[in-house]
Amino acid sequence: MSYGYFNKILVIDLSQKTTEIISLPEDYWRKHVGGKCLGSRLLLDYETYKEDPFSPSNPIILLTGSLTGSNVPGAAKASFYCKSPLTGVYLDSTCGGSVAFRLKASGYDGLIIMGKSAKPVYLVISEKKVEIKSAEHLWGKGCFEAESELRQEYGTQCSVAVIGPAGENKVKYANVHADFYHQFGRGGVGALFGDKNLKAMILAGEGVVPFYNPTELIGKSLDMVNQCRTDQKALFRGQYGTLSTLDLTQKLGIVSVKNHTDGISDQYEADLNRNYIKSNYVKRNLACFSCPVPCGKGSSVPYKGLTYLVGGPEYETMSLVGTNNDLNAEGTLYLNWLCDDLGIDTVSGGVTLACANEAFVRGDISERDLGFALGWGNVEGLAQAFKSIAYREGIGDLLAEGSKKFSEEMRLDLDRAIQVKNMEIPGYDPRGTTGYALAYAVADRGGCHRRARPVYKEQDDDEFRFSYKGKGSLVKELEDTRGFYHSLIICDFMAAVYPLKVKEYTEMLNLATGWDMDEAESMRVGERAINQSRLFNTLCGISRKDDILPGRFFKDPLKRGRAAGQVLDPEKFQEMLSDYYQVRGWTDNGLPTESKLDELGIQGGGLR
Amino acid sequence: MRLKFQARDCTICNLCTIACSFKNTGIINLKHSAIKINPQMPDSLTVKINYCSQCVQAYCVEACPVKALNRVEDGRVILNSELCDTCQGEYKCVSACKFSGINNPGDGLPPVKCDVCNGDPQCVKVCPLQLISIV
Repeated sequence: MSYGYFNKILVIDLSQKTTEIISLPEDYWRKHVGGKCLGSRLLLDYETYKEDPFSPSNPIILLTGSLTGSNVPGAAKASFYCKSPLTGVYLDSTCGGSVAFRLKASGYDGLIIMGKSAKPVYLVISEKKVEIKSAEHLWGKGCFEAESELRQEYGTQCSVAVIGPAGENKVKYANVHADFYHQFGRGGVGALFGDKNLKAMILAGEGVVPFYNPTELIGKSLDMVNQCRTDQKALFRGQYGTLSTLDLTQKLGIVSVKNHTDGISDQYEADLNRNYIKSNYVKRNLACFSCPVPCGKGSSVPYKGLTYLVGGPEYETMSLVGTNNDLNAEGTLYLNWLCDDLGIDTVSGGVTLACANEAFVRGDISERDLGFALGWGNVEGLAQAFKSIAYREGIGDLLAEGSKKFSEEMRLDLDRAIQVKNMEIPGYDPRGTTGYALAYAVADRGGCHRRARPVYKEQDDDEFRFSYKGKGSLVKELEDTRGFYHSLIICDFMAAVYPLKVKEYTEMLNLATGWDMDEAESMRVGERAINQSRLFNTLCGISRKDDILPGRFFKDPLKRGRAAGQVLDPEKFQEMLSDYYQVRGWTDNGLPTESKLDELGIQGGGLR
Repeated sequence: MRLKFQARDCTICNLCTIACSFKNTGIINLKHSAIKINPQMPDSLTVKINYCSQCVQAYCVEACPVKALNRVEDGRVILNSELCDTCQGEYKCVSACKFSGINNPGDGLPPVKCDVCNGDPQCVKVCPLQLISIV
């Protein structure tokens, strides 16, 4: 009997309308733990690097981890693993809420969704049955309406994940929306759902996950709630969520403002700040399943005579939809709701429109090109743009491909398409944090801030923040650590605000599974995960040439604030990249070496 | 003696249901939680919490044909599981409760109902925002 996992993966073939339960080789579990390390392994096993993302044989893999089903703080995350339609490379996309718990409580460690349904369908999964049902009555509906309708039938004791019109129309950065206020945000998993004619999933598990030492595991985790009541960092995070991140980026001068033409937001003082938003819009605090830190916010925003209820805003939306398009708080919150309802990732969506917005303001493109007017702070124009994207109408069809494709087709300056490997970057200007410059460049899924968060180590020391020295080893260590957390799967915030680090999580993992892992073995799992995703990307043709940031960051210095005058030095950036490859044990072209793969016990692609 | 929830501020973390089921079963098994958290979203940002509030007019006590539910001195309604025969799967107490305060855990097991942990409620201890109290 296994503990912490069932060794049961549910495989659903939407073409054949069949389901099957598979088991993985027993040695897979301790070696990969779950989540990212296992997901990247399965992507290699299924050789999805060879597939077109929209091929019926490109599977979507949804996994939990060996702590899922427990109440270990932060263990409420589930992730999709697939070849991204946006980037054409490795993707993991993560969500909180109760998705992970309800899937695991159904008796499965994960799902593999293959094939394509001829007609719209949704899945109902519990420990009692698996059903593939018609979703024709839901097709075309926004995420909020579709979920509300499903909940009429399935109630509150389940998790519901849906796509909106953006997913149905295969917008390359369409997300999967879950439990009203959560999203599998990045990389376009929603487009893969749409391509497979999969509108929604109901995860209704109520079963029990067997743990090796449940008394200690669950009891210890419950005791930790008391710690969070007195821990100042945890309290602050619970009070403001990521609303407070704008304080940090504004202080450091690295906010994404007007498509990175600035690093300081003028809207911050006016109303786009945590206190104003908290007192004027936030109605309640929301937590993921079993989490004692309610960093999620439920807000209510009036717009044009109607009231919209929205989860958040999270920092990335405040920054990439908000400051990046110079919006006020009300406009940001309304567009947050609109993107959530349409099923659009606010990061890629916000950055793509900021790119179009800058071109519009410069006069490079006009209302005639777009079919609507844009302009900084123009909420109505942006709303029209988001709708056109979701339905791929007019120029929206091109904007739905992301900032790079849009810039290429419109003959705009590619240096101003703020993306890495076609994925738009989040809200930390890399000119003011060389750590993030490197982390973005090498992140396995493209422009992403979650593989490593070097700014934590840089924020109090500007000399180090702008220096290129020591960043290779810093980013590697942070990536490996996150690689382990993402295999558990643990929320990124917990280790940041809680006295729970690799050592403590390893102890929890041992209580869950009965293993005797130590910290070093856990870090190897993280390193294995990063090397597997890089191997996947290598097989997709990725190498050093792709680990690069947009030209703007090497040409235009930041103008104001604590990072004023900062611009990336191309040569030093390349040296930093070489340094990173070296500490990773990769070739100078950024390819994992045979010896490194052997050392980590990583085999190549292909089913064993 | 009964529990009181400040539902308006509930974050839907479910730590109370986890602690309750852990006390009842030694593991996390939400079917065996005497508390159910029901988010009423998105129409309103409210949460409905179902639990036994030890009603003065206890319809469950009246409905129980084998007198397995009884009022005790401190005001609680206590289930004697040994007497309970689940009404041969009919769970008359569950249907009689107007507040969905008693749960049917399935598998022919006795209903799950809050007994305020005999005065030491686990849910009160774990609610991160301390929204649960004994009144």
